[in-house]
Amino acid sequence: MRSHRWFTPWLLVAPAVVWVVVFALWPFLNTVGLSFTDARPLSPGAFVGLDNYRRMADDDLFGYALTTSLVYVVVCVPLLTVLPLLLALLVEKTLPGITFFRTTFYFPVIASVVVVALIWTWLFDSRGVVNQALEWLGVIDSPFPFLVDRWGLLFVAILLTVWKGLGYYMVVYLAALGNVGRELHEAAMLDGAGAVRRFRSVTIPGVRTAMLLISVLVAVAAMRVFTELEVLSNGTGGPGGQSLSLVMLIRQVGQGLNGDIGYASTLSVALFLLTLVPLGAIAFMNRERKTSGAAA
Amino acid sequence: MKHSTRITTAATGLLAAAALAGCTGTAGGAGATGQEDIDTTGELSGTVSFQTWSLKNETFTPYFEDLIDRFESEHPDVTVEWLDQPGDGYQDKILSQANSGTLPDVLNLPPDIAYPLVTAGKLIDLDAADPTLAETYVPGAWEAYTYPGVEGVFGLPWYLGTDLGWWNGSALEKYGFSTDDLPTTDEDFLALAVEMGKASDGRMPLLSAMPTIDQFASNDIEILDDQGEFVFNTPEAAAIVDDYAEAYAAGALPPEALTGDYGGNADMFKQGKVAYTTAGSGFAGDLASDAPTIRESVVPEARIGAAPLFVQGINVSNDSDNKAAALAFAEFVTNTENQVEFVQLALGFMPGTVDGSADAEALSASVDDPLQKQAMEIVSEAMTDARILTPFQWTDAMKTFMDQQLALAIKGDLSGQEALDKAVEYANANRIEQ
Repeated sequence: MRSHRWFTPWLLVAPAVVWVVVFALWPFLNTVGLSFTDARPLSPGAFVGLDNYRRMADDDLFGYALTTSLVYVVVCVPLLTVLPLLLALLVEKTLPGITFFRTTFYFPVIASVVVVALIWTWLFDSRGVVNQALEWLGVIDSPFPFLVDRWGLLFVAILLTVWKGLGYYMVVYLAALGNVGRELHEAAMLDGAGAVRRFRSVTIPGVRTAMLLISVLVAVAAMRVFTELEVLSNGTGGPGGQSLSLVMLIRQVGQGLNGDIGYASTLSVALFLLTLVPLGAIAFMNRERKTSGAAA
Repeated sequence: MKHSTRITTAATGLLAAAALAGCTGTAGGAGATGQEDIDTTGELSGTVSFQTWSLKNETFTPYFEDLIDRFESEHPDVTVEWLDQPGDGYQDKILSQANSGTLPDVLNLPPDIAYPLVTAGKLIDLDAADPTLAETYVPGAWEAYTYPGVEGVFGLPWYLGTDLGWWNGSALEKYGFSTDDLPTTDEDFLALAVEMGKASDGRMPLLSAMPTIDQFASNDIEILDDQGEFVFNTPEAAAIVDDYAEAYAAGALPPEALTGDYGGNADMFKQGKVAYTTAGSGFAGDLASDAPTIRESVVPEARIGAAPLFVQGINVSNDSDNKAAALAFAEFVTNTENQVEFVQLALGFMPGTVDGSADAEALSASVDDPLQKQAMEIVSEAMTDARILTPFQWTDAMKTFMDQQLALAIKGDLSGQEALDKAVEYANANRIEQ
């Protein structure tokens, strides 16, 4: 048997290493580097130390964007972790015509988010169907400006995200539920467990890995929310920019021939670090559960 | 092992350097000064790339194909490659071309988009390249391509535009107003908007957009001082914003206008949702195809306040390998004959040359439609006083920020003065020439 030369392993991993360095590691390091400069698109800029970070701390728009993204995470993670599970439990049963409902619930997933958001813009317009319906029902006397109100806009965007995400995560749960043995439910029933107790003690532990995965995916996506708010607010982030998300703010600051690349990079670094927070929290909670589960 | 570590380190370093070159923008030279004469009278040869902005369509494609054919027949050794970029994302396209050193030899840039390229030394000083050019073009448009702190002129005026006001006569009459005595000042216009908003219970607003920097300039509010500082946060400007807030409360401005999502004045006008819009004279043709019923009662009038001057120009890249042919083609595109032919297709625009704009009647001679003709005459008259209202220093980011603050003020969450103070503070902190 002939021995390989010393560089053979390096050659084998080289394409992957090059890919990671060029398309992941280097852009990240470059962004970190730029965050300490006053770079503009056609000017490499000069080193400005922590100026951009100080500016960020005093920036009202950053405060709004951070609030928007955090509210998005706090609301979307529980909703998109629990509601699809309940939906999956409803449609996993083998009833006549249930396939129709499974397919229907999945429809929003395949629709383009931009198109859906545009349609929702018309729905929630001051002269839109929602306002007309609310007026007809006597809930409001005059149209409520959903799309130019800070919390109204956020409410509509979150509703859109949840509506669009339900079907996708429902399918993930359906796959996970398929792995929960029927005999466990039967054994629990023999022990006298009711539906709620079986849900808590059999179903949830059975899909816990899927729940964790979904929580992580939703948290990251919510922190980086863009399209829904962008389309619903026509790219403005609403009056005062109060409904900007972090990604929208990065775009607002960095785009164009005169974009402030340095400050936009600072915001990108902040977004990266902030994305780690929900990830860490979810991982920590899961670790605690595992530990307590092992102790029990 | 040590050997492999060194190789790995070196390779990583090289990769990083390559990526650095590809990922970051670098200034392109030492600025635009020191430009030498470019001789376009000699034998020209080679290829010239020519980029337009959203002009490849059934109206203009035959014009440009013929234009290029004629230039190539005059200069048999020159080949012109025409490319057209879509309207959306044009700035981003220009940016990526400038960063990667692939700017076309000849391109179409308005003065504000040209400025960052000028400061990066990416465009040729055309005045220095050919000192005889200055007298050919309309002075106001020629000066639009001069910038404080940079010596030279960086674009040849191509076509110039302004707009006028269009009123929906039947909509006004429906709510008890007449087109016989239309307002001519912003103050009267806002007062009418409030009355109309109340009379129609918000169903037929006159307003469909928030105040703009143009509007402040049109009201003789100083936008920039001599040092280039933004200073438009005056009590007069604040009063305009407060008037808009009052109009909003009276239903004269729909809520969606606060996020600029009211479809644009002209579209809303064509849909019969607003009774007034500003648009170029070519809007008469749009109405004929899109809203013939509204067109029957439409009344074109001179725009309220000062007429804005919109300038489009032709520029030559400093990175061009074929500057002589590129400059010759730029001059050819913008000569009087070709500009007059162009604006006969682009109805409502005026040529950027002195000779071309002098014979305004010739431009509308072939037009039969009375409304179109009337609109062109209004535009032609307005062009004599039209001026650039938005300074090139006013960036998209500044506009976005000001719109955000004005939206708060018009909703009643801020005073007009507070909103403008914030906008000015932001603009001065982000001045592009600093």
